[in-house]
Amino acid sequence: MARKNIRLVAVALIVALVLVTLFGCAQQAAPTPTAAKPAAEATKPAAAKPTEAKPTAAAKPAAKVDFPNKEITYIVPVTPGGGFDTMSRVLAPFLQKYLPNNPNIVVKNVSGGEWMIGINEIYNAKPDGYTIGIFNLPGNVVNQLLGLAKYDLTKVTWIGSITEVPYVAAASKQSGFKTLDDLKKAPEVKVASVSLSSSAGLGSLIAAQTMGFKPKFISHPGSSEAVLSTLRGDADYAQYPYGTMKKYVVDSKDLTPLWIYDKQRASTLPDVPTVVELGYPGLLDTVSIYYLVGTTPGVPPEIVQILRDAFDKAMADPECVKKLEAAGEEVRPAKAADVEKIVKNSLDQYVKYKDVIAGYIK
Amino acid sequence: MQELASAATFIVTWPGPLLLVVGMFLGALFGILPGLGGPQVIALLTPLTYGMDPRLGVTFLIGAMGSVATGGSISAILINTPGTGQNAATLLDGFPLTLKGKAGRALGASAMSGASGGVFGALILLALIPVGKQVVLAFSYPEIFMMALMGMSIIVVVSQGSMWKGLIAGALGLMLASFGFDPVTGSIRYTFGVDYLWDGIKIVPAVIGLFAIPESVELLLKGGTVSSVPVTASYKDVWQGIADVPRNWWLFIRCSIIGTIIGIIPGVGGAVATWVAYGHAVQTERKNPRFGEGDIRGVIAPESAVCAKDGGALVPTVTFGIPGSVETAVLLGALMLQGVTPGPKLIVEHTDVVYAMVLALAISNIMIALLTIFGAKYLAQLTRVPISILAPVVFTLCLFGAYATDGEFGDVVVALVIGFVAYAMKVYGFSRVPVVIALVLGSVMQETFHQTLQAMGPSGFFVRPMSLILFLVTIAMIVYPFWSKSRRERRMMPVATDIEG
Repeated sequence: MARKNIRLVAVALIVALVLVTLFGCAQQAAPTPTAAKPAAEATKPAAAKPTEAKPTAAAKPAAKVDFPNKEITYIVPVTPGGGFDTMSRVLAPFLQKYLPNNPNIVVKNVSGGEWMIGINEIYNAKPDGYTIGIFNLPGNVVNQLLGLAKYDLTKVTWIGSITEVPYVAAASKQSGFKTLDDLKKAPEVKVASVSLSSSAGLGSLIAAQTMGFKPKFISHPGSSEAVLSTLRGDADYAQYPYGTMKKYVVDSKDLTPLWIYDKQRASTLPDVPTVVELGYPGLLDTVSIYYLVGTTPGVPPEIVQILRDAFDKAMADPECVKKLEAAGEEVRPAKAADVEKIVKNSLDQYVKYKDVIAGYIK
Repeated sequence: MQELASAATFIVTWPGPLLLVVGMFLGALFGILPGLGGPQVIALLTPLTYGMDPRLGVTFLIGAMGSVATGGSISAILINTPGTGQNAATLLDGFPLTLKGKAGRALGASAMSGASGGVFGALILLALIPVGKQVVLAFSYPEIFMMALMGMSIIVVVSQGSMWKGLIAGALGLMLASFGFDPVTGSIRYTFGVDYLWDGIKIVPAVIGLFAIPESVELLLKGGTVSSVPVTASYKDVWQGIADVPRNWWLFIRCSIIGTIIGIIPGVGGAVATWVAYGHAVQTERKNPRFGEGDIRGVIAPESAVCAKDGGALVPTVTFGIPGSVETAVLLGALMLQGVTPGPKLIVEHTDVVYAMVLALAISNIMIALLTIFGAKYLAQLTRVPISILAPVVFTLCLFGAYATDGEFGDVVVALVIGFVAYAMKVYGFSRVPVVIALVLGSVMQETFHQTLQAMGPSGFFVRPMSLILFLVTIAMIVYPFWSKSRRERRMMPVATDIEG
């Protein structure tokens, strides 16, 4: 009797193990967003249907190339919670909607190495279009210019640009800075940054150099921590995309907005001058951020076209735009062809600042 | 108050309870399976919440988030495998209790501390909502550094038997922590040309390698069943475990506070909370300490902290839109997708959502605790399964768990390599606790140390009151055991001379 119970438990254990293994192998990566129906089945290991959780089946009529027919991994090379991660998570279900066969799009955070680890994963993946991801321009350009990167952004297969976002520079209340002149007069300005190969960090460095204030960089693991430290007053200055800053300069007035990197003033920040007004129009091109989506070099053109079409349709979907804008950024998308120009432009511009950057990254 | 009541009514009306229960089950399941945890379950459930009323969506997701830690403690206690990285500290005393046939008591204590800790965290969250901002902003680099230092000082206490061995183990942990990108300058260390190592050594595979694997190996060598003593998991046992918590109520309160505070600090996660709490318990509980051999306080401490941390982590999430832990980071994304933008406006514009979060957290913790308590008897039967079946299954589950975290084979390799070293350490009498403490706290310490220097200069550590206090407390805690030992020795000497004379 007792023996029988134990035997039963042992068998149950083994069965559970087998099912869990099947479930795990079918998922390939840690379970991440899946389409509603398959998710309900996939979560219970007891459901020995993991292989059917992927919408393989439906013999897709008419597509010359059967893509996609399994799940696509969308890599976000930073930790969750920031702008790039949030935009990606908003976009992913729409990409899923517009891609033929509606594959699962699994958003995977691969952070570390100043974007390099995540980018390498996209760059070195099998060129079959099943690994896509988001890139940060012009930030990602730095490591390439310094020869540290193993990737070449001009070789990436671009799918499109989600948006281009203006930056807002803000100062902590504790610093007392209110205008550019205040910063110029200060012996040193503590800049909260992530790392110099992020657009924010790079932009801060170039802005400081061009506008004439002396920066001292304090590094943080993510934009959230950098902004938090500015809120605390441990840092004096931070420069981030409008969407990130809006909470602190519009919604609550915890940070003092200094200027905006755009051609005209933001309607929500009527008293904040633009860099053009301050006399530095050149900064418009150098301090900007593009949220680019791309995939591995060498993906066959038919597959690339499918990805690009789905992307363009997603960006044209008013619901997608609405959700992206709710996440904080006004949406100004661009198509793949334009992206290639943007990338080349960035590389050319930043070559000029190569030595300055190298000086800061001992 | 009125909004709280309305949120409560909302949750108990259908389909609220269904979502809470389903969320809780899924969270617990992900918690039990080694390697999978909070971030994965929330990410998985997020798409299901599209189009739901935000209050329901939040109830669902937080229902899942709240039960992960308690789920993880079940595997830690029964099969010496941490369900999630943050349950590692529970292994140290939870499993020895199982070995002595007292799994029921351990499960009871864990469930009770978890439920109470979770409710504690939820209450603090509720209380802090109006002043959340100031609280979050009060913790800066020096304070975090000092907390990490305090955590590291446990190494000294734990190594009382052999200081050298403890320090060597700690040094090994620090070395492991320095693999990968240097948080300050961005230079790459110890990657040996392997891309995988750029991320450094991750906590989950390391914990699996350090604790779970050597134990499985030893069990295999031992044979028989897990517990040498007949396993009693009667309700009487479980009840004893439950009663242990109020009996140690002051320890429980302190550890819940530790957990909540560490949750409030963004960027510092659950693993840190459990180790600081465990270490604190070791340093402060002087009555019959049997830590590492099945001291029930070694289960209460980490479990209260880890469940309290969830409430704490929601404070910066809700007040600033800055995630307090990895789970809340994923939660943030989910909230934004529902059109509920966390940040200074959230409390004002979506008060009901915030209250729903608080309630869901508390209820979920309570439910999983009840489930564990009633299921303890059956769960404990696991330990009666012959080792020849149990150990290989657990071993495989561990390796699978290491893989499941990120789908990287490198994690499995790391777990195995560390497992090999850890077994050797076990055989030669090196405690492995300093390794994991140093690994978990190493990079936090390095980062905050440099950040303090960059932002405030060396005086930054000592000028700020909280940081200074933490520092002095840490020093006191390190010095005390030596001081009291030498006092005892001095008092004993006259007796010796008497006998001789």
